[in-house]
Amino acid sequence: MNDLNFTGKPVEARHQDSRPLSARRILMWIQRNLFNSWIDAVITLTILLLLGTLLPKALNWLFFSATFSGSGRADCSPDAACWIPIRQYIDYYLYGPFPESEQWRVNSAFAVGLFAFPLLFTQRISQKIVIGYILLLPVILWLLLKGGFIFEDISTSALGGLTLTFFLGIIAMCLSLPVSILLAMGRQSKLPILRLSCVGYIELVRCIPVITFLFMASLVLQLFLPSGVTIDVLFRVLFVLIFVSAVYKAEIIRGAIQAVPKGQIEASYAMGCGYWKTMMYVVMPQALRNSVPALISNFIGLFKETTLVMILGLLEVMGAVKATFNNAEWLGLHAEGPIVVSAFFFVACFSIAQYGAYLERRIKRTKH
Amino acid sequence: MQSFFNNRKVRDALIQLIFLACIGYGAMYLVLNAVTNMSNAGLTSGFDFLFQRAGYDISYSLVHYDPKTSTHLMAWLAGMVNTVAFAVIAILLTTVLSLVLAVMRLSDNFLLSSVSLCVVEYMRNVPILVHITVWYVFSLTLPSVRQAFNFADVSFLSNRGLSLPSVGWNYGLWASIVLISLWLGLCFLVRKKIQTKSRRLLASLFVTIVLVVLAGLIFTPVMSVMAPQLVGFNFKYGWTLPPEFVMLIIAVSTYSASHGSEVIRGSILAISKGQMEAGLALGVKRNIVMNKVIIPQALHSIIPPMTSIYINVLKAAALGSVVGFMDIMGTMGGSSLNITGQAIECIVIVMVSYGILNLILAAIMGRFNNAMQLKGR
Repeated sequence: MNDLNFTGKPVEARHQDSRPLSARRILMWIQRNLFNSWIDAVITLTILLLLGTLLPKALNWLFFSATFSGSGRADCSPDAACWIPIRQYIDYYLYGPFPESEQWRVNSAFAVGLFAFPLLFTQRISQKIVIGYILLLPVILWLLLKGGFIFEDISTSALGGLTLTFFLGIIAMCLSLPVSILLAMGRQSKLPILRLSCVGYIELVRCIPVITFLFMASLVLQLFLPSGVTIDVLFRVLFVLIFVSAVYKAEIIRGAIQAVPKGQIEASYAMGCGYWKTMMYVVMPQALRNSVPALISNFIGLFKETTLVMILGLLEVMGAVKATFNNAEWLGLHAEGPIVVSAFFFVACFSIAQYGAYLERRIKRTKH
Repeated sequence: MQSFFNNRKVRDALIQLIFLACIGYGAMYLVLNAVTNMSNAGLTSGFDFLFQRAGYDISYSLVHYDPKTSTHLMAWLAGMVNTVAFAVIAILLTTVLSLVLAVMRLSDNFLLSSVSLCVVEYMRNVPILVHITVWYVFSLTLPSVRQAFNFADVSFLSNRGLSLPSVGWNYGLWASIVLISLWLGLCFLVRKKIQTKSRRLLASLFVTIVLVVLAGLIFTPVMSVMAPQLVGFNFKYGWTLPPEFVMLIIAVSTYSASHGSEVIRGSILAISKGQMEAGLALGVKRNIVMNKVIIPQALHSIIPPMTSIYINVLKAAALGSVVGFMDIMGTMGGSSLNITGQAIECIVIVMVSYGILNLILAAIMGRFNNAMQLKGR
């Protein structure tokens, strides 16, 4: 046992207890973690009491007495959840008013988009392919969901529900990345006018709520366009999401660029590489790789922010759920909709966040 | 010629000139379009509309606002005061809640830390708009005024909102000015004369109490506290916060507190374990090591990210338009814009207002940050 002390492993790693679980150890764990002092005991008992009274009630309302199948409002019991409308409209929440014959396009778009996550941090596949995939992703999604080129064109009003959330989230994420890289580079540029305008833009956008820009895009933008030209509201929203979230990403990437050791940049200049070559081959590969966890949490924020387009009347997943509960038959069921939406967002964002945390741990390991 | 373009200075100047020209052209294009569009619509630009009658109602306003007579300027002021009131309350609540959640999460008690973990993970992974909707739904289930939740007969929670006791300030203008300036002067004196922090705090508390008591003896009537009372179908006296305001504050501050608690927890965990162990080895009690060693160091890394969380809280006031609470975005950027059609002016006012508020917040936090940084290096 003693020789383990000389291997230089961290302290936590040494105490891997391999003894089998015994009643005594369980008791010791309980004593240490739940009843360490009398305050601890009081807290533990209070929490247990609260959970014991509230949890059965909540579970009962949510599942055991809830109505899952039926045809109408009459089948619902008044003092428990009623999941009938959710089941009835689940296709609408997923696909929105997307034409039914074309729904395979939405399914394949989901598959293509989700495939980006495992790809983002594999070390087996070369970075060029990954970057190519990220650049192609918005094009593919656009083709699949919006149509054009080979596929049948679909009007923007047919995008709704989860499809719209997904479309906005992924496309805004992918298209804002290049903008944010340019902004981050501009902010650190030696050219004063370039730097000042980038700093001004970033600071201005950061101190104003997104919803102001969304309202601007829906109400004011028309004023700045030549008469007769109209831009679809979906594209205006997309534009706002891209240019607002680029600002937050630019700050992440700036931090990552600053973390690249200065000696490397000087070495690269000394080798005769210019600014762009240094950026492309020395700084950016490291900076982008290290900013992936932060970018993933930024993506979660963007994904959550897409709910704001509901205010402009676009029916993304939350708007779609809300709309069905305005239906005369289901009027008065207030809680079910928000519960379903928050459950969906929780599952989606939590799993992405766990993935980001895993990547962060991996980056930390490879650094030392 | 070749060497002329290879000259670094010339090239830099050229790039910047081209960049400026592009931006200038874009701006010109947009402005010219706006000018023609506005003249087509028969609108004249300018800020004269601020002094016209607004004519729309603001559901909740802390300053006096009358839809029949008040101007757009008053509407802006009402929105501004609403935003500030919201931000101050929500920021305080965010700070307290994030501290509580972080302490719970760091506790040795397994149940307590897992409860905190669940709460934090739920809150940060669900969009703020969903939170607002959830709390709004909750506010719909609140009982009517007669069956209001009663907190010790001084505050009530019902579907009319949260009724709190109000504090009357009945000294009159001149007496208030004299009192406040006296109080500020004494506090300044205390700051100058007394060196230790804890004694300074005690002394200013003492000064405040003495002043309040003296003022009560000299000027009558004294400061009055009025608890809300149920009269007929509503609460009289006291200070009633409307449900949408209360729910917005709860939703925003719980959402931001989940982010804040992660910041605080991360900063405390980042302080090396050896510091705590060294303190304990010196025979110092755990809570003293925490207060004197760990937390002062953690504060340095807590304040900058907390500032951005606070700015997000301030910006979240704009989301009140979803539940019917009007901040600057709701008054100036919403109703005034729709009524007058002066889109550019209204949006500029909204942006400038948010910019100023953010600058003030950032300046306060910056001062706080400077005060907290390690000295003598």
